[in-house]
Amino acid sequence: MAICKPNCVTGLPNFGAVNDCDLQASFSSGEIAQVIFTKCNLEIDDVDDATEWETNITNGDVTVPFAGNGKIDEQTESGEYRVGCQTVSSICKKPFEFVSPVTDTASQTEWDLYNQIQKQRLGLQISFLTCDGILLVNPDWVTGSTIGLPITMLKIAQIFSGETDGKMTYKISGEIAECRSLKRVKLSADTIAILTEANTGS
Amino acid sequence: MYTLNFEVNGKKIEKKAHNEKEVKRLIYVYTIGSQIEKQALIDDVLQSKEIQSLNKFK
Repeated sequence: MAICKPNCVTGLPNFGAVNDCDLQASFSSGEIAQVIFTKCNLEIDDVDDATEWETNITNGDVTVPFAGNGKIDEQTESGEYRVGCQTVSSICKKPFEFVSPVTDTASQTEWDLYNQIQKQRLGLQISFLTCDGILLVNPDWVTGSTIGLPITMLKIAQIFSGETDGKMTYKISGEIAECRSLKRVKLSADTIAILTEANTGS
Repeated sequence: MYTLNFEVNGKKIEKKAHNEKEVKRLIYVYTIGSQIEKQALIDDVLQSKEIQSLNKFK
């Protein structure tokens, strides 16, 4: 039994109508194609401005590791307290995982780039680009504020599976300290091109 | 075509929307507030376009 608090409801959202004759058209990709690390105090004015992203990459304030495949899992909640006949979690974390088999086969130097990310992890935030070109960012982002999600744990692993014909992979995993749904921003082709091509590590 | 001017935290951004869905998307991306407030902004933009269209026929 919980105490009813009608004042907590300030206006429920209206989801509106969908075309239920073509539901597939309403589906979005559940795959992460790239992860994007941003300096934790980097303010982004326009999330869909290719020039701004390019400048930030050039200045070393944004880095985009090689493409791969990743996921963001359901959050885990812990540190529960019983308050007013309701159970309230005080800690909430959302785990993510990203694996890339791409390496720099010309100069063999990508290991150093991953090490640099690992070394600077305390000053980083993360965003995710899905396979349908949608950038997942901080739900509080608005013009002139930081766009990434705070990372509470970041691990970068170089994995040699030892399997027959197996390939070396880099695995980036960790937890973000945000349990609300992430803001989804459909990017223009120009912005996607910068985020997927400009930072090749070369 | 709609031209939307956003100003948040002293930063100005101009975006163009080609249709009503893009107006909705841009307002949801670049503004903060409740759904009711955002919907009011969307309605304002779309209504102003209708007014402009009507003026053309005057």
